[in-house]
Amino acid sequence: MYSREIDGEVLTLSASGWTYRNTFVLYDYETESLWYHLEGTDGLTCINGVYADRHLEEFPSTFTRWNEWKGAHPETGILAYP
Amino acid sequence: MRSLCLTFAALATILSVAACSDSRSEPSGPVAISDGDSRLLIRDVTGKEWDVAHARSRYGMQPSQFQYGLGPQAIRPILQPHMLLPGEEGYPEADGRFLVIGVDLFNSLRSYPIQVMGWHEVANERFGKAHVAVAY
Repeated sequence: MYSREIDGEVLTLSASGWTYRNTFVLYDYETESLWYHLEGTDGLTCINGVYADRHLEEFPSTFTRWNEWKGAHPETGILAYP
Repeated sequence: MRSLCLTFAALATILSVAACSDSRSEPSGPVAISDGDSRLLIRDVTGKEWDVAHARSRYGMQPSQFQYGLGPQAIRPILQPHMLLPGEEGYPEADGRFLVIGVDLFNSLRSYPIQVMGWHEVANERFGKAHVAVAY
């Protein structure tokens, strides 16, 4: 999970349709900059575009099963099918 | 941190989307086009061109290793995620064993089923004042 704020602006992130070395390349609607999770780094790096070389901070998240997550966090919300 | 990697579920999504488009989406890598203006363009299946000159010069990323190129409309992000809370209709039973991404941030507890995220890749979220992207 990543921040999508930069210089006080809010970005809308989306899959670009490209992958690079089996990892999704994202882009932002606002500037069409490309964002990529470079190996050995935290967060997303802008690899091309107006935010080139800038970073979006990573936040912790947990990859788990619903019963385990719900058991540890009874009040959790869950994303509805859009 | 497991994110953005092309997992089986995500690959299945891509391949199913690719199957709905056309046969050019096989992962052979795009042809790089240099336009002589310090740009290095790769073209996706929709004809959209993406500049990767900086990605190559600064990060050593090879244009030929950008794959699929399904176009930016193929995998649509979630723009207005809706959270179900305990007791609401559709909230799952506690014993379900499906995979989720769990987030505990800024006093909010939320979870994102992989089954949904595999189709959308990104959910553009807000936790309080913080705008974040949940990515699978």
